[in-house]
Amino acid sequence: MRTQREETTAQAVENRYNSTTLGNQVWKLKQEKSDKEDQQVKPCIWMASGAVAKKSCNNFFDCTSCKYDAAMEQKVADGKQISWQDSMRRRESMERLCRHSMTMRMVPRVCAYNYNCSSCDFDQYLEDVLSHRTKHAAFAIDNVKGFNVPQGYYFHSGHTWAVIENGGHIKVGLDDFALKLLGKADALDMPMIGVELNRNMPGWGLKRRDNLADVLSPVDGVIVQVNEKARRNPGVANSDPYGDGWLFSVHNSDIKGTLKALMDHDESMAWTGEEVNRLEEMIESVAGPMATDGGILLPDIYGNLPGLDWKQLTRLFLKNS
Amino acid sequence: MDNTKGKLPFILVSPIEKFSIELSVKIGDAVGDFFGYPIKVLPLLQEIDFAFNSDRDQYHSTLILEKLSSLAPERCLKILAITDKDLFIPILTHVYGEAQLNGIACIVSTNRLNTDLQLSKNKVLERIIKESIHELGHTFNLRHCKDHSCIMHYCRSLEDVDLKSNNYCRYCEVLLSDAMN
Repeated sequence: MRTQREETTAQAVENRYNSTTLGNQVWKLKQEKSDKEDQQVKPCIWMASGAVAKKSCNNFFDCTSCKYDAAMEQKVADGKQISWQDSMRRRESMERLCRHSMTMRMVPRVCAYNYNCSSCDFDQYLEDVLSHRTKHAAFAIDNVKGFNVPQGYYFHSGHTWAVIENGGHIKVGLDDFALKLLGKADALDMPMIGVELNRNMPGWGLKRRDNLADVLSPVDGVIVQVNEKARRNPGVANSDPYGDGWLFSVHNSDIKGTLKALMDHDESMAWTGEEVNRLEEMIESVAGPMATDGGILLPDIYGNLPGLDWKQLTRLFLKNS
Repeated sequence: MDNTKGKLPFILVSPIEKFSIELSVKIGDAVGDFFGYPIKVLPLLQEIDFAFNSDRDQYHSTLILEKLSSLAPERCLKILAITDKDLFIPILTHVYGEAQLNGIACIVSTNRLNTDLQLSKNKVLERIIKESIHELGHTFNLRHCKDHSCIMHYCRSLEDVDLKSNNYCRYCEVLLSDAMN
């Protein structure tokens, strides 16, 4: 018979497996749920293993930069605490979940390496390949005057976004507004893996006909993965800007500090509305006052309205002057 | 319906193709009461195929307005055309209506104003009248208004249409009076 603690852990694990994709948590800087609710949906690996009774994760399942994890490891070294690995080792072999399953980055799988992750080939494969190939789980998307703003994403005023993945990587991309405004790029000039992105500095570029535009990076960090699909076919970004259309995965050890500088969902919604107003003013300055009612702007506004000036558009909305 | 005897200018309500004359008269009554001009209901265009865009499966409203303004009868102050066809302008997904700013012609489409089968006829008529007054406002040189309750507010959706009132705000009312005088 299961103990209450095991029941809680099993429920929490089940909650996390509702989706089989990697990274299906909505991470927000400000905690909206109570700690008790978070323990159900985001239990720390120390809690999920049974090593501690209660602890929810507040570090995006990125144990490598987690202060709590470091403190607990110290307690283990001092002989005052059982490690989460030893706690798991007490279980039957088929109940020994891989730590990536416990942190919801992977569907349930059993650990075959006795929790010696440093020698585990699957651990290496997940970090190096799998996690970057998986798109972010679908979030609820709000629509502001015809432009999509997903919940759980953070926006930069240069019309880029960032979202936290389980495990602590940050995915970035161009927002729906920029992509509908500028249309499908003929090419994306994307930097290589290992290149450092600096917030508010040009991070990558896009080309449309003979026009070029720098795009400001929304975050600091080192690029750990580039979306080759988007590089080869920039239209992917237009068709699914917040899913398959991501551009980079970035590593930054200070995720909270990095994202604090960006707009949260409420701020993003208000800002997008203002940006649409500015765009409509610009359209009227080119095409004359609109004497219509109904409808929303079609994708590829630049392509549909030849009078729009590319440099003016990108300077005003991508802030790349 | 023809209450345009004499030499007063009138607003012409012009149903397109097979659009209901009966509904056109109702719209004309409401518009006539609102603006205080005599109303005449008369079809000017039998078909609008010339404005059809096969790529979009919609009708380009700007082309229809050009045609309508060239057909304006004598003493006709404004033309309000009504159609059940889906209208568009190139940068927008669709339009409920379009007008010639400070011009003579405007058009309203009922195509997207009646998407819910359970909606009462009165509700649909209310939307059509709101859009008609909105577009006629443009022909009197009124621009879009930032006041969400003003009938000249730009609506992107039916929710917006239902939210706005069926009147001009005080500022648009003044501008309308100036334009009509």
